[in-house]
Amino acid sequence: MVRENLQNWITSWNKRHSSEISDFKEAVYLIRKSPLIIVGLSIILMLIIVAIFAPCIAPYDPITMHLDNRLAPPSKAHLLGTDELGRDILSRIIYGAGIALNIMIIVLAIDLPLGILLGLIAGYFGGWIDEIIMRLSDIFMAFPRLILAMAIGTALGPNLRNTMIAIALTMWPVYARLARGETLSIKERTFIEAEKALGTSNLKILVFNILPLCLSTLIVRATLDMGNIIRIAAGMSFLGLGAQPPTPDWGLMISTGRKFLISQWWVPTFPGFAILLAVFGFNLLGDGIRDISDPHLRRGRQ
Amino acid sequence: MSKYIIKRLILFVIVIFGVVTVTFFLSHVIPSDPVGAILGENAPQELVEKIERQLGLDLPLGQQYTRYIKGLINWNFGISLRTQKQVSEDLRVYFPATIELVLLAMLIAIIFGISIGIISAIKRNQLPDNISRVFSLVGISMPAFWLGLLFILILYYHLGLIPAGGRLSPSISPPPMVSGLYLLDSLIAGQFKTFWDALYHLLGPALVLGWIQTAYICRVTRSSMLEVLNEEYIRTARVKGLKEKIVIFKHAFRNASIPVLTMIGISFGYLLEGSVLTETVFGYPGLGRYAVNSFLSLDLNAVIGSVTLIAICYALSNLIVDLLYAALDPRIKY
Amino acid sequence: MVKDLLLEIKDLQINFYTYRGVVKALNGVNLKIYKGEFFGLVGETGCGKSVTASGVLNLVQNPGKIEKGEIIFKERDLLKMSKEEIREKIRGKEITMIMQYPVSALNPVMNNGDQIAEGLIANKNMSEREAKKRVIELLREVNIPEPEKIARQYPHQLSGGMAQRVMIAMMLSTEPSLLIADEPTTALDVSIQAQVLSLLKDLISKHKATVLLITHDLSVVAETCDRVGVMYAGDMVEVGEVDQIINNPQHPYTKGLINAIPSDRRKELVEIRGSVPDLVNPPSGCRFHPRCDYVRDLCKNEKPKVLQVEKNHIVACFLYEGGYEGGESGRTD
Repeated sequence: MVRENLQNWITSWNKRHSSEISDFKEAVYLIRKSPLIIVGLSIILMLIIVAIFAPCIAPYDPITMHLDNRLAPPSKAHLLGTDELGRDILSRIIYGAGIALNIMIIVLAIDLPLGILLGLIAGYFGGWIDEIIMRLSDIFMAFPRLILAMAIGTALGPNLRNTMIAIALTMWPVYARLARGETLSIKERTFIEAEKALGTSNLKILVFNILPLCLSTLIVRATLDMGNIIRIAAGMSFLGLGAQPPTPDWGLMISTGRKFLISQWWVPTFPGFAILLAVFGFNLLGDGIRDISDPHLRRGRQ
Repeated sequence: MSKYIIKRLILFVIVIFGVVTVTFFLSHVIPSDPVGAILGENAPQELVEKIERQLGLDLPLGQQYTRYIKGLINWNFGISLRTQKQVSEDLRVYFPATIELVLLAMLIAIIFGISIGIISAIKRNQLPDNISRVFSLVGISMPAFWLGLLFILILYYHLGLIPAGGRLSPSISPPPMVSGLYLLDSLIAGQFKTFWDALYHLLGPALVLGWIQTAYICRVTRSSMLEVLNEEYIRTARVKGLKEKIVIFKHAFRNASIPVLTMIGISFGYLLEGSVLTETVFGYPGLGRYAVNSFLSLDLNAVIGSVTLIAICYALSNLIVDLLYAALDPRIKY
Repeated sequence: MVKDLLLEIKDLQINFYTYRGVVKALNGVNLKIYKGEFFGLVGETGCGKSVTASGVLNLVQNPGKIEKGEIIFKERDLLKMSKEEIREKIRGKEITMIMQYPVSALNPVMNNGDQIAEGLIANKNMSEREAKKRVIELLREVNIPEPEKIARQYPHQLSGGMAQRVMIAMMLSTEPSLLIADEPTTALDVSIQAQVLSLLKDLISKHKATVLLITHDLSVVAETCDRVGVMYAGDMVEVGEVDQIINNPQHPYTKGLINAIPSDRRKELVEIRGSVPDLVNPPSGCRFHPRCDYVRDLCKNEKPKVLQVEKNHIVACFLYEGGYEGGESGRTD
């Protein structure tokens, strides 16, 4: 009985959203044809694989110190050299991938639901709730992101977890505003009036009708931000507010390696390349997705 | 239109107020021991209490807040624990340095970003476009502090093109104070040697910040131009037989410049952020480095002072961008 | 009565190179427009009428390319001219165009008067003061009330009808020999449509210009045009005087179009069966053959020759082979 209801619901959902579904199919087609997305996805995939299989891929343990082999230049044994505590830099970078991805996922896991929730409520109900949420977001957006993150990070205490919270707190206003904007335009559409006329509760309208339509814009925005999160987190670690030693966090590696810049350049340089590569991959993906989903730019292709 | 301006100004005031309040509350969450920092760890209890009363730390939160606001209006943040000077004095010294850096970087970014962006859009999908797209994508992917380190490694150590740090070489003294911007002041005073020396010291951080912002502005210019070039009125302009240069600049860019202007405003914010890390890496004595040091040493007064100043600058730049936007786009005016 | 030939399009082929393949938009279009006439180009959306217009001005949008053909205007082949020559001498001076969505066709950050004046200054070498004066006169000619006020306003403040008048003023200001009107009234309310069309007719006769009117609406054609060309899927299928086309349509497609106009004589809506073909893989031979009630094997294999039905009336269809005076193949007159 339940199963039948579910199937019926799925079929009717498919019918109601058939235009979105064909949009999706066209998007998949375009993805396969877009070099930006393919390269970006490959980089990210590689990152994910490296992160998950780090223990198998990394030639050495990232934490154990080998004080007899400090600051060794790149060689066959240590492809990227060793750092000031004798640890293999390549292995640390490999483990660092997981940390970077972890930070990004957690920040988005906080921000997307939070932003969507606040945005939907603000847009749908309007009035003083809307005003409060908007003023709140204005205030958060009044600070440059890194400064605010530094302030929150310092206030909460310098560790990775607090960095993630701090970054999340600086970014939620963007998602809330986007969700609110989408909600405002969607709620005027006639099919919402129809649902209300049918007596559907506000909650159901929000979750089943408005939310799915907002999601695509928000996800596009999220992919554009993915690279930035990694970069800001690296900045926080560089300043000492994020990951703490001996975590193999890329930003931290640059920070501790900084004093060896001149004589043992490989210590702070390679982690930086890792950050560059990761952020670059995400930005490629974000650009590609944005190119596809923007109807304006799509028109140019025809 | 004037309705819009007034609304916007009111918003600005509310935001500043909110910023100030949030900063206050944040600072009270930051674990810090200002008294201990002054007196040392083993001070006798009565002395601690005396100092606490002096600093007003024993007052209820509400009163502390009022005190804080009063001080703020007089631009008085108290004394920096780290430098042992008035925070406002520190700000007065370091702020112009950052402004100078930010303005120089912004200039680089605007000149190169817009021109490369326009060229990219005109020659879409051809070689210049593809190269510039890759470069700008790389530019926005680079961590500023790492780029700074690379610059120091290559440009300073290997090529000797930029100096080790600071605003001026040790042998040169600052120009007479007019604006606090060494480049400007030295030109006004006719001290060309000082001018070049100051420029020489600004080069490293300005190039790093400028490169990254060029990437942002180039991207926005390109996509905005592409969008506008697809519009019907560009076709009309061509039908009218106008010279291509006029079509691109007078018709296309005039319209495309509106999002670009917004980006420039946002860039300013990114530059303020970027200055934090870049100044630290280059040892450039500006507001950014001051803020970082204040945070790391939990120097509350300095933290509040520098954050407030940065936030005010940021809000001001957003305000100016919004107002300019309204002035440029007749659709808002009428 | 010998009419002067103003524009002759010979065997124009235009392709669009898209992600999905090569769209063969124009399949060898032939067209003759005489001086002083109002020529209507009719067809469904996607049949290539607007592309033809773009081709004349050499403003075919990316990713389109003119593959072959000749466009002879005042005895010069436009396609052999350099881009700079066309821009300098033809566009804005000899040939101009008004478009479907007038508000979008106007630059949002320039005021209306300046936009019109721009064309005058660039093409007629007027000084700014002269141009501004002329702009007010022009706005009055197109029946815009309070021309000084409108000249200072911006396009987004104009209604569709007003904006189209501004466009007309702009495009007739330089006294072109040929005005192309690409669906000028399609986006306007029906009541405004009639006003704009009659205004257009008045001005054309006053300025002694020639008009190529592009539309999918046969009633507009019936009201305003002297001669009509019917296009289908990139081919010109029938050309004739407006009475001939309306009352004596020969091509099955034209017949279908005329029958599709709702009338009180018939109770049901009649439609042409089938749908517009995909121009990446167009039908072989006559592109209309999948939808034609009179299709024969010949139609699937060869492109129909052009035949003359009566004076000034030609059709491209195998149905009439042998039924009429043999025509010259490959050209529609």
